[in-house]
Amino acid sequence: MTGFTDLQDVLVHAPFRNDARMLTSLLHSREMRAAACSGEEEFASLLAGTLPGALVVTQEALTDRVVGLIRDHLATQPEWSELSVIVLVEKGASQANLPRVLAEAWPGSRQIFYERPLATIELVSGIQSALLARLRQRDVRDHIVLERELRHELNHRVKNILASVNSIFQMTARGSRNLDELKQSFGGRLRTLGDVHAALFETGGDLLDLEELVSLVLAPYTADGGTSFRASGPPVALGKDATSALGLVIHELATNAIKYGAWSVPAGRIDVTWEVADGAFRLCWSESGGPAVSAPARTGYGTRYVRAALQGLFGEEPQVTFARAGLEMNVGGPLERIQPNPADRSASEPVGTVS
Amino acid sequence: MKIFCLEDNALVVMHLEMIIEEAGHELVGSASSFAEAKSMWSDLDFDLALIDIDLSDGRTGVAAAEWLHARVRLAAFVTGQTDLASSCEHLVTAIVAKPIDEDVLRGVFSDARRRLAVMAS
Repeated sequence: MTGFTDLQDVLVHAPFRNDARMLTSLLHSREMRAAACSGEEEFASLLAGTLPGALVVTQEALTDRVVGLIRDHLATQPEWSELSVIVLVEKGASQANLPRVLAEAWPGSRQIFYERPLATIELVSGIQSALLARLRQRDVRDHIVLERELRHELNHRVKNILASVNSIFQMTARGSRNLDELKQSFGGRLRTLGDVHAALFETGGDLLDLEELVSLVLAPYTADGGTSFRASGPPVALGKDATSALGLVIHELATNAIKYGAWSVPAGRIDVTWEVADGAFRLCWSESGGPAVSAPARTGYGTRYVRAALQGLFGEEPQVTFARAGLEMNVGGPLERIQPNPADRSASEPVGTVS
Repeated sequence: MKIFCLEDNALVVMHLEMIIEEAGHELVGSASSFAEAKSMWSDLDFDLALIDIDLSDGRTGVAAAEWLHARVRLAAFVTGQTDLASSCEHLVTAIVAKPIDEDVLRGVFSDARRRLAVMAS
């Protein structure tokens, strides 16, 4: 037998007379999938390896072995699964005990009895309702699988965030001269991480546009109207890893600008511009109106992070120029390295679009 | 010792670099994907690779460890995927869980140094 479909095919075990043929053609005529097995051996192997949509079995086929096979299947089926067993019984006194005997043999199972000769309409509607219940069970299964995946993904993300926070803390602690400085630097970095995370969550699909990200990180500093920035470039949808990394890079550059660069004076401004050409992305951070800047004597956390993060993102080190007009930083690489990867994309698509 | 980092989180790379330098070793290179690392490894001299399992080109850290193991080069996992790491612990000298415990990592450096001395003799 080939092409048995789990949770859809009705498995028929009716080895005597014309029963099997009669039952399968009846079900086929009502557009249900059905498969009859040739004997106990095939019944045993199908029951061990598949999850039938429903089981139809005649009373005289219920040998001790068959009762045992069904018991084993019912006992080992997944937790979400509840197979209906439809038993076709012979009219007469010998069947009076059967429901009780089978309830003991298959405890807690869903059993339906039909007396022969069969009323077709009853049998068909009984099997249809069993198959409908199976559809709901399949939904439950899909939800369980999805929830397991989400829990796994969540665990993974939490671990990643903790690893990042731990690294930020250890490095900030080493670079701080006192507790106040540690509190301020660490707090700022943690806040940016939180803002980026919240913005990603808000979009619902882990996708943020570069312009939104730049505004998200820089806007809090311009709330009092003194300092200003401009962000301009074509729309670029960022993947979630690129969003976090670029968000933190912009935060470090802004912090540096406040301490030493354009934003240390009221008239200073920052221009963040980017372009895309032939799949290549280039970003420029340019400060103006501030004091003349020079390369710092010591490489601090901010500079190191900006360099490491951009190197990791683009596979290329950023070019930093300490010009008289202000600091300028250029970096670029293949656009695809900051775009959402296929896993990000599928997570943002509505369920059910797969044909 | 010359150390290489295969890790896609730039923050963790920086943190590792800091611990490596403080312990008197040198970070000679880093990559965020196995594909990138492989292109660098053929002509890069290093004594120990620190490898995360989830990288920017997927769960390729195990393949990276296999690649180095086949060439008798030392590697240690530094990863949140500790279950997966444990299932292939024969490929590495140690498994360091994230978030990183710096003392544990320094222990991994000392151990690698001893192994290198034995391999050289």
